[in-house]
Amino acid sequence: MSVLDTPSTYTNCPPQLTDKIRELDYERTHSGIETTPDETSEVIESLFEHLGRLWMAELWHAIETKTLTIQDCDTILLAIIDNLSQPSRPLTTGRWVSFSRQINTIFKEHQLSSFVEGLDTIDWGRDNELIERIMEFRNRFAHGSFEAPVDLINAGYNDVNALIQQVPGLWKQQWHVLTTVGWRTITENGLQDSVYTSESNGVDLVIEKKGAFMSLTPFFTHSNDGATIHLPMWKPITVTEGLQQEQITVWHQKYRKEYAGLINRSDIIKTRSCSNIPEAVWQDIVSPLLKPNHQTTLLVGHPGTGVSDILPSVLRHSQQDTSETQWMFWDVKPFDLTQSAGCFVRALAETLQSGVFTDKDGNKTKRYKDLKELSKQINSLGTLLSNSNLVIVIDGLQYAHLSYRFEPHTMIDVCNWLTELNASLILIHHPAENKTPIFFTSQVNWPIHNIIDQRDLDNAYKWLQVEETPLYQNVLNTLHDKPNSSLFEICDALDADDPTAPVFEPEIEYALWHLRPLLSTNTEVVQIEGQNQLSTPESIRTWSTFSNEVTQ
Amino acid sequence: MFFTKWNDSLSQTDKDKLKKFTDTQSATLNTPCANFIQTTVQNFSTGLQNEQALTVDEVTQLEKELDPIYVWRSAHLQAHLKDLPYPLSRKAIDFIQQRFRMEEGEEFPQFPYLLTATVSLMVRQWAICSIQAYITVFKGNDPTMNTLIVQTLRQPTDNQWWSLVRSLTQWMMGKTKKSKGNKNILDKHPISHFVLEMHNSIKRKINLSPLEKSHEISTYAKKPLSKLTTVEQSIKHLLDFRNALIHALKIDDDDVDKASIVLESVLEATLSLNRFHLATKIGLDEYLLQGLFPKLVESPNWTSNIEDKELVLLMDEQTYLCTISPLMSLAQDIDSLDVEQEIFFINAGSLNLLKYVGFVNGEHKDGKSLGAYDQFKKYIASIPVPQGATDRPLIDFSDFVTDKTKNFVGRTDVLDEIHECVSTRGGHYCFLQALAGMGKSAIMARLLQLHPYRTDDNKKTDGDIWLYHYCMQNDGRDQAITALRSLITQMQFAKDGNEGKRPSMKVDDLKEEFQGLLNTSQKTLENRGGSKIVVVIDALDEASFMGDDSIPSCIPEYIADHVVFICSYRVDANCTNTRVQNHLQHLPKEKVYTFENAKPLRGLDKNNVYTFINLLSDGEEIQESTLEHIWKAASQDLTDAADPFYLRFIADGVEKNQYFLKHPETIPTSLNGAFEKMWLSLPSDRNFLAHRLLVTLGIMRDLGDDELFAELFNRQFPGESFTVEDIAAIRRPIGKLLSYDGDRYGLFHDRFKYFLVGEQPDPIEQALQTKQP
Repeated sequence: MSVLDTPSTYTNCPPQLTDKIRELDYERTHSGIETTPDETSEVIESLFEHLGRLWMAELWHAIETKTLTIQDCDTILLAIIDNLSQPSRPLTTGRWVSFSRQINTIFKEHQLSSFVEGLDTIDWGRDNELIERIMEFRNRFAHGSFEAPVDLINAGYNDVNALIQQVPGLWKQQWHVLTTVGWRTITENGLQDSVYTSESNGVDLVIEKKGAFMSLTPFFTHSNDGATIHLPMWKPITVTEGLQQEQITVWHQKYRKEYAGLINRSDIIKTRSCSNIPEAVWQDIVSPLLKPNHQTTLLVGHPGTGVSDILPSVLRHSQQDTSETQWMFWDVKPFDLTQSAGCFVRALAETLQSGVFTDKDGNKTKRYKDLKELSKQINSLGTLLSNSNLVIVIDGLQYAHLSYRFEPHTMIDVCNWLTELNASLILIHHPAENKTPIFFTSQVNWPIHNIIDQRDLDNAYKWLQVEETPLYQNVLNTLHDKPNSSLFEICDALDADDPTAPVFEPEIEYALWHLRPLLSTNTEVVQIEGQNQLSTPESIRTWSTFSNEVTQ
Repeated sequence: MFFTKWNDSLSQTDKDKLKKFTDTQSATLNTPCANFIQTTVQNFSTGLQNEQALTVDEVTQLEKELDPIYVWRSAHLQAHLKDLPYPLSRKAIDFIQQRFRMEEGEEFPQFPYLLTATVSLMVRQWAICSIQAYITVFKGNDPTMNTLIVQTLRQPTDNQWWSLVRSLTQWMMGKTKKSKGNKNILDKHPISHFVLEMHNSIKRKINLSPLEKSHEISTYAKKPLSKLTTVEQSIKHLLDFRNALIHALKIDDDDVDKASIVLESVLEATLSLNRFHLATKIGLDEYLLQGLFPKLVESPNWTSNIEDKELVLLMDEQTYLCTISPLMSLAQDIDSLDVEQEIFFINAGSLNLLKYVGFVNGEHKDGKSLGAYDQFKKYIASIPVPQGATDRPLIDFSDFVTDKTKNFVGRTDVLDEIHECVSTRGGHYCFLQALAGMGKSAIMARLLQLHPYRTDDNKKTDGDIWLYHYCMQNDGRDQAITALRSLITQMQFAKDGNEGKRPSMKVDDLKEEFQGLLNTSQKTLENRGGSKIVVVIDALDEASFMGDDSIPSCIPEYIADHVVFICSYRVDANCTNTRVQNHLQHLPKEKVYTFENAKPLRGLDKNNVYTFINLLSDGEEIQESTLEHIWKAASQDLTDAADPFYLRFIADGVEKNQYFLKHPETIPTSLNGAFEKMWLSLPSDRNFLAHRLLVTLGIMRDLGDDELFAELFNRQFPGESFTVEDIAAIRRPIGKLLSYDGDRYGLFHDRFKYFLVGEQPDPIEQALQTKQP
């Protein structure tokens, strides 16, 4: 049975999709197949939007039924909310596909099945030829009714048919809608009496599967009489109220507040386990930095050596500090709000009570559209900063090179601006090569090289993806067995381990610099024999793990 | 984004109205249509703002996007792009569609390249049709036009294609005007319609709305966008964009957006060319090449005129105008034409080298494997060119000199010594020796600035005669014939104020002529009030040593006392360069002099470094610590002297905002450190392909191109498949590490080469040594 060729089947699909398929069917029959690339494209667009919205409803449902937690999927939740709450910028077909792909991956990772029959059987992987072919067809014929050979249009048509057939839930599972006269079932012949009677706050559209129901709100809405189904975009101002899911709503409210700069993670920093920094190190290294000096100090130390204890230790110190020094603590975590340059600047403005992010009506402004705007706002903090006694301590600078979500700037950019503004900054960083240069007034190397904080080392291992990358493990093991090796010696050793897979030196060089937080380097002078038999001294770099314990 | 929404919001009646307006191919927006757009846009905009919370930015965006001229252009293009001749139609449609989708938020990192490919295809397609119009009507009877065509076909760039379109069209239109009143040869031919339409299209006014209002300047072109008024100027502008992009200059999204609007406007202004299409016949099937795909046509009336697989130009889908083979060609072994088949365009057309490129899948083919070689041989014979007419002996070094002398500092000792030698060492050969990157070419370039052989307005100078050649692997500048011809032409210019007759192509004749000219020019010198002829030849080590005559070996053995040679070459730490020195053996020992201040050339002193940094800082005060930091890093490998190459490198980094003079901590502490940082920041995609490409260039003696690397990597990695486009995609982000000669490229400097692969034995030198007894 072909869904697209069978009106009695396709008319059971969601109404907007049905309309598009009906139009295509009509045009193929009456105007000729060669005239239908644009109608086929429209069915594709509608189909992908429906599948995307159904996947979003699945995600909401999984959180509601506690089969997923917010932490399992907070990144995609933010992306959905951001994308759907821009009414003037409808999602492209590519974005719908991308959302379907991402949610499908989360479901697979947690071994969950979809409520909509067949939805989880679609392979959304980037190499899936069916999806790729359909997208290619759509991209070629969207935005203009261009003619095409019949066989090409038919190929596209058959692909869409194959995809739709894979999701019987689209035409087999019934939709129920809450109207002014109670729940009704949507059928091809109009609204009928429904078996569904539950009352849940805000839920007014559900899909049924063998007596079970999944809410489709807020991804599908309907007219008051229930006769028309809408595919809504959300209004940005009321988005939080419209999420229709308590856990998500609470989480999103908190997120918005923190993103607006009302963020205080001191309690979390305080709870970090913290080994005592030796008194001598505290006196020599940390203590001199605890006064506003309007300079930037870059403190560099290997993970696990106690360098990340500085932040909680200084925080504790600050609570007993009776001087006029003002403090701001920031712990950058990967993929967390603390990676956001915008959030940091707002929090800084809050700390300085600057009011620069308030508009003329006294409302907090929300977004930074571009780098220029942000830098302007930071510059406006300049005078406040130079007159203040504020000391800013930032840990986890190794995570600050990546921009948070779609922000055009990174925390490193912000740190560099603050250095230019003569702020008092303490930056704590693992040894690593940085693509963006970090401005500083002085650099201090952390003197401890043995491991005293296993958790911190484990985090670095995870961040550097050592466990899932055999090459990184091999490099570390090689250096453990033979410290002070040059690049070429390491390559020789790896070649000897597996002569069937010769290494390419730049690949090992990249691996070494990637693992730099776990490694130390040295320079040796060797004699290089030239063409003319004369040997000339040349410096070469050698590598070791910073501590023997690294590979244990 | 808003255009699509506006279009969707129209009622069926309005949609029909719009269709009526856009059905015409006229490029002008008439008043009823403008009124219609204005009203519907106003309604749409009000509706949107009433029902939804648009941000201020979005309202601005809406106003910009729904400017009536922009709306008209988008609607008009959508209606007519499908009528463009294939394959231009396909690229143009891809371009417009990606533009729409980008406005909807999708990302296309390759979009700027699609834009340039569309322009490239457009100028080629137009140029080829114009050439064929000329040949069809005028039978190749004008030597100047023939020369222009043959020169362009040899190794055409987009700029050359475009220049050819303009020259041919202007020339043919000139012919029409001259025979006014008298039916001329062109008017008799139906192809006159094409020539006239091409001419009108080139001159047609364009409307860059909404850009025009803001008088914005792009980073890639000198002229502000508001100065672009015609298609002609706009295409030139787009070609500047292409060059900036291909040579990896800094281009931002805003620039891409501006270039896109320019291209859209050009596409719209030239829609009137849509009545001219390509067609072909394969076996019994006839195809019209129009729209997204080649279309099968039933029993057309033009097929009797054409050969199997010949491509022809048609008018209004029925009138045969002319053939366009073999400049465009189909593979001769195909038995049908579909969306996968490539239409090949000539990419290098001479009897020695015939190459084609396709724009559908980016495929490259040589003429022989394509089956077009014999046809091309016949074709080129039909465009006779006067002997020696296609060459340009005088080399323009002005770009090279400007680049090399940027932030020039110090070297007064060397320059003084050079001037002293010019005065006192008549009849001598004076040599400047230097290690790689120590600045010898900068000094030699500085000489050209101080003593130009012609004035800015192209007049001859007075006083001493200074002649220049800078050896390099580009454009045959490493060849003795090229160098001698350029030097002789400069000499003729110094004598007569014009380039004179073209020198011979035979090296023996040239050697004799050059020596004769130098030694017999006292009278010329007297007339100019000068006393010396100074011949400056830079980088003898870059000369080609293949064959018997190298540039060093062609330096005349006897020169009169009013002639001085100033030459430079690279040496090793022992002041040796065996190969160059062997080729200078013929010079009389007593007449050879090496500059005291350059054997080898020393680095710059501390004051020079400070001056250099101050020049770089553009007046901003630099801290002593920065100056010290840079001096220390620059002088790391030399005794109390700074490495000029390191300084140049820093200057580049400062310009590109990679290094900050206010923050010495961002400035690399050594050249190797800087190279290493660059090396590690290269993309590692496709199994470190960028690194492999650079290392391979490091060990190659000649330049490479994308085609060569595609072939090489396909052999190295049998499991993978690399197209020329794949290589180009890998190459573009590393453009700053390459120097270009047209589409060929090498590493940007030998110092980087040394960093990558160390000292490499020169295979030619090795072979020559083996040959020696």
